[in-house]
Formats: sequence, C-alpha cells, structure tokens
Amino acid sequence: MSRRNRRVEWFTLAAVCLAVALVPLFYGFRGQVPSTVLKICIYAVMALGLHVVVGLTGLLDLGYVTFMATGAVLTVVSMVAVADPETGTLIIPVGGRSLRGAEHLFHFPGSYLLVLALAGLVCSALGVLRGLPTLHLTGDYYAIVTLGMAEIMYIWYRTAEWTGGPQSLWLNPPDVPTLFGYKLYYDSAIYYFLVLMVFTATIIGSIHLRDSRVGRALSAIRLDPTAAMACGVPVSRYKLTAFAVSGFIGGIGGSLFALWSNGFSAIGMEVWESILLVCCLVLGGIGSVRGALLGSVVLVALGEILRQKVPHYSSGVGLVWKAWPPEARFLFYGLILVALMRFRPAGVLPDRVAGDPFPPELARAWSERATSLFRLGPSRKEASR
Amino acid sequence: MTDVLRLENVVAGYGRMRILKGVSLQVSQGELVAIIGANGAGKTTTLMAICGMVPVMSGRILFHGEDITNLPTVDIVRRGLTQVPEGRRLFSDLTVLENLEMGAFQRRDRSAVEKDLEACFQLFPVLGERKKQLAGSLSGGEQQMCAMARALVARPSVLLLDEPSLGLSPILVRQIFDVIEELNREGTTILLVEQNALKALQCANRGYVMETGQVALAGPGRDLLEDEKVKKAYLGYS
Ligand SMILES: Nc1ncnc2c1ncn2[C@@H]1O[C@H](COP(=O)(O)OP(=O)(O)OP(=O)(O)O)[C@@H](O)[C@H]1O
Ligand SMILES: [Mg+2]
Repeated sequence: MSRRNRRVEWFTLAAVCLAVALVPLFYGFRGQVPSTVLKICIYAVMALGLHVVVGLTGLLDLGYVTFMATGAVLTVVSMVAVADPETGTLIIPVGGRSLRGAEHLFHFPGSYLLVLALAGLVCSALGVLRGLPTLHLTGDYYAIVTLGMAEIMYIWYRTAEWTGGPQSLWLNPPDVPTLFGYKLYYDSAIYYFLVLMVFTATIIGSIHLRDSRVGRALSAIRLDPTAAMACGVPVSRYKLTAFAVSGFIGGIGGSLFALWSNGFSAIGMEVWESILLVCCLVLGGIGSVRGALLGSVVLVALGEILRQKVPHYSSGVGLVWKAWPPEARFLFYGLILVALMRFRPAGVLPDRVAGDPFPPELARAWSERATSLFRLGPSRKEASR
Repeated sequence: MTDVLRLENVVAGYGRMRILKGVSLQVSQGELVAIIGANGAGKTTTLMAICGMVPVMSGRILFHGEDITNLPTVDIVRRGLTQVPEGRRLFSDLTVLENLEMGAFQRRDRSAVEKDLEACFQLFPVLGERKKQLAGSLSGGEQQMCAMARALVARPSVLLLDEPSLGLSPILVRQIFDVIEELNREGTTILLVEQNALKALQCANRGYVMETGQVALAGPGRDLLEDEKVKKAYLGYS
C-alpha cells in the first residue's frame, strides 16, 4: 500500500472508532442503537481475529465459533461460580437458580480483566492444539476439519453439565463482573468503553500485524508455502502463531459477547456463527482490515434490523407489522453473497488487486443494471416516443 | 579446490516412489555446474532434495563438509543455500519490493539488506522501475529476474537455479545467462538445471547429464558438448 493509501486507511479507521465513541452522546447507553453498535464491534473484533487465519494465512477456518463459545462459556462460568456455603466446593448454578449466601469465587477487583485475558489465552492454546494436527492441510481439507472440530466442541458444550447444557447460563445481577468499581452491565457506560477499547486495540493490532515481518511471512505462506519455505520462513511455526493470535482474539470477543448477551447459551453457538464471520470477511474483501469492519457492520446490522418488526403483506388484512423469523437473515446473507460474487468477487473493500480496484466501466454497467431492474414498464425514453 | 556441495548416492522421492536412484555429484567453490537431462529425469527433484523439500531415503548431502541431509529447509537456507525454484513461484499478491524483502527474510542486518536491494536493482534495472508493481502482473522474463533477485538478497554462497530460461525469448535467455555468468564471476557458486543444454554447457565449468534418476554422464562442459550421445539426445544433432 502506498503511503497515501495508508494515511487514508488510518484516517478511516480512526473515524470509525470515533463514531463508535460518539454514539452514546446521541443515544445513551441503553436501547437498540448502542446495543447494536456494541454487537457490531464485538463481531468486528472476532472477524479481525478470523482474518488472521483466513485473510493473512489463507486458510478457510469454518470453526471459529469454537473460540467465541469457549471465551463466552469460560467468562460466564467463572462469573457465576460460587463456593458451596456448607462444603466449600465449587458449584456452577445452572438454570438461573442462585444459591443463597454463597460467595462468588472469582469476584475481586480487576477479576474481569484477568478472566478476559484467560479467555484469550485458553482459546489461543485451543487454536494451537487444533492447529497441530492440521498443519499440513490446506484448502477444503482444512475447512472441513475445522468445521468438524467446531461441531465436536458444540456438541460437548451443548451436553456438558458445567456449561448449562441445552439451558442457558444467565448472568444475574450479582454475577455480573465489576471493573474499577462499576458493574459491567451490558448497557453500562463502562462496558461500552471497554468494548470500544478492545475494538480499537484490535484494529490497530491488525494493521500492525499485516505490515509487520510476521504478517508479510503469513502472506507469503498464503501465496505459496513452498516458496515461503525456500525464503527461509519457518512455515509451521508461523502458522501456529497465526492460530494462536486468531484464537486469542476470538476468545476475547467471545468473553465480551457473553457480557453483551448477559449469559451463555450453547444453542446460540452453532456453525452459523462461524459462517456469518466468514461472510463478514468475504463481503468486505478477504485480507482487508477495512473490509472486515464493513462486513461486520452490514451483516450484523442487517441481522438486528430483521429482528425488528417490519411490514409484511398479508392477503385480506393488508400490511401488518411483524418480525422476520431469525433464520430469515441467512436468506439475505445468501442473496448478498450471490450478488457479491456476480459484481465484486474480490469484496467491497479489497486490500489490493492488480489494476484498478473498481474500474469506472464496471461501475457504470453496474448502476445501469441496477436501475433496469426497477424499470418494469417501458422506460421513460421509450414511452415518450 | 574444495567441495562446497556434495551429494553421495542420494536416493529420494515422493511417498514410497523413488525418483532419485543414487545420485552423486559435487560442486566446488566458485564453480558453475550444469545439470541437463530429459523431462522427468529428476533434475528438479535433485534440487528439492538438496533444499530439504523432498525427503532423502538414503545417501548423504554435504554442504561445506557438514551433513545437511533432511535438515529443515529453514536451516539449509540459513547456511547459505538458496534455490530459485522451477516456474519462479513469486508471491503474486506482493509487490516486487516485498518479494525481494521476503528473500531477505532471515537477515537481520537491515542496512546491508538495503544495499543489496540497490545492487539488485542495478543488476536488473526493470525491477527497480517496477518496485511497487504486484509480482503477479510482471511479464515472464521480469518474473524470472524477480525470482533470481529474491534469491540473491538472501546472500547465498551457493545458488541453485531451476530452469531460469523457461519460457523466455532468445534475447531474454541471453540476458539471464549473462547475469548468471556475471554472478559466478563475482564469486557465487552456482548449480544450474537447464533444458537449454547448449547454453548451459557453454557457460558451465562442468556438467552432469541425468537420466531416469541417475547421473549418466559427467565432465567439463566443453567435453560434454562434444560427446556424441549428448549431441544426439540433448543438442538436437541427428
Ligand atoms: N510431487 C510429486 N509426486 C509424485 N511424483 C512426482 C512429484 N513431482 C515430480 N514427480 C515425478 O518425479 C519425476 C522427476 O520429476 P522432476 O520434476 O524431478 O523432473 P525434471 O527432471 O525436473 O523434469 P523437467 O525437465 O520436465 O522439469 C517425474 O517422473 C515426476 O512425475
Ligand atoms: Mg524440472
């Protein structure tokens, strides 16, 4: 990237972070808008984590939800864990019940930061562990194995007792962790700025990683592992590093997500979350940091909008307001991706492509095609003739 | 003269398939040695085995007297053995400059690297003009130069070249060979694999002819050019 482009990039990203910081001025911390903004930021963090493996290293990871789930479940479990008042043993109150008089085990000043770091480190180790047997896999094989491993973890989390199994583990008000004396409620100012800080740090880290020696080496591995090896890149070691970094960010994102959703539910950690994150990258342009942000904004916001009541046409009644079923968003994701593949196969904000990233002829053809869709009758020009 | 690189009865291949069936050759300090042979004779496999990219099943490979058989490629590169692989294998989405910087991946002496990059641009002026261009959009000849430059910034003491003239016009072939001879004159030991047997043997000190995974013939370049069998099989005399 040229120096000018780089400056534009920094400027854009700084503007994004600033915009997020300014949202509460207009909307406060409670309600639909800040909540959606937070979800977007958390997903953007995870998308950037996935980007390390998919975008930089070029391996299609279809099991990223594992890190999200692990980070989330570790956070919730450690926050609800109490010591049994009689026997002193560790208990995880499942199903929303709380034990009267029981002491929380992991509530001490700064404990959430510790839990956050721990969620990251555990997921980092998980990433390395998952990476070891798959070091020599590429392409579809790597994708299938990660998909399978995520499914195994999903089934485990859904059936294990300590995760609440098919039930949800709720963070009741006493369970919510404290930071600098403030409760990290999902609609609190302190939580908002914690997410903003992690979001900003992840963006800065991603850019530095991409432009660093390590990032360059990962790109080389993506483009030609054999040639990278011939240049003296220790390919396996760098791949494991990428897995570790990616897992770390995923765990952090998962932990923040647990606070956002005020609990953990294994049912919500299905393969679709992995696919959604991959879609965020594809939409924005695989390998591009700005693209990952754009993808998260569009897809997460769309998902939230579709949860709202929208006008439906019902025969006999006319327009009625009701919400789409939650699965409907995947219909739209699919449509978006099909359109993307047709018109901008490299994504909306690709990092670099040979030649002009968006040739003007294509732009014109594209807008003509779009307008012709709405021209069902004869066009104005034809009609006037 | 001392042997820099020495292969002793190397047997190597892919999976259970043996491609090299006992290859022995040596390269001395400052020499330019050519390997010629038919398609599929095992020339590329030989270079890959030297670089630790194809497992050696038996035999040894010595570099400066040290056994480097089956060492990880990273360690072999660190010792000063660099390969320009067949078909260039540039990092297509990285710029020319970034490709060259990847070549210097193991070097920590930043300022010396800068100097070597400058030297590369002197040697290949086209690359200097196209520093910021993505390597994938270079022409075939420019790609070959970029691949050679990428290997050179690693400061190898021995350079392995796999078919540098592949797909190049006669003029570019001459240019590439001029560069190879110049590098050799400046002290880089070179092991060159070529289909262009005439050119290769003309500029090489010594040559090896490979046939089905074995060395069939060896000798000084000029002698091989005169050899009836070589003339018939590789130089197109009938
Ligand atoms: N990855 C591989 N797996 C299995 N067999 C291989 C592999 N690569 C090469 N071979 C086989 O090894 C033999 C020698 O191949 P090699 O590439 O060394 O030939 P070469 O002498 O370099 O030929 P050319 O001049 O065409 O490049 C060939 O028969 C080839 O089919
Ligand atoms: Mg070959």
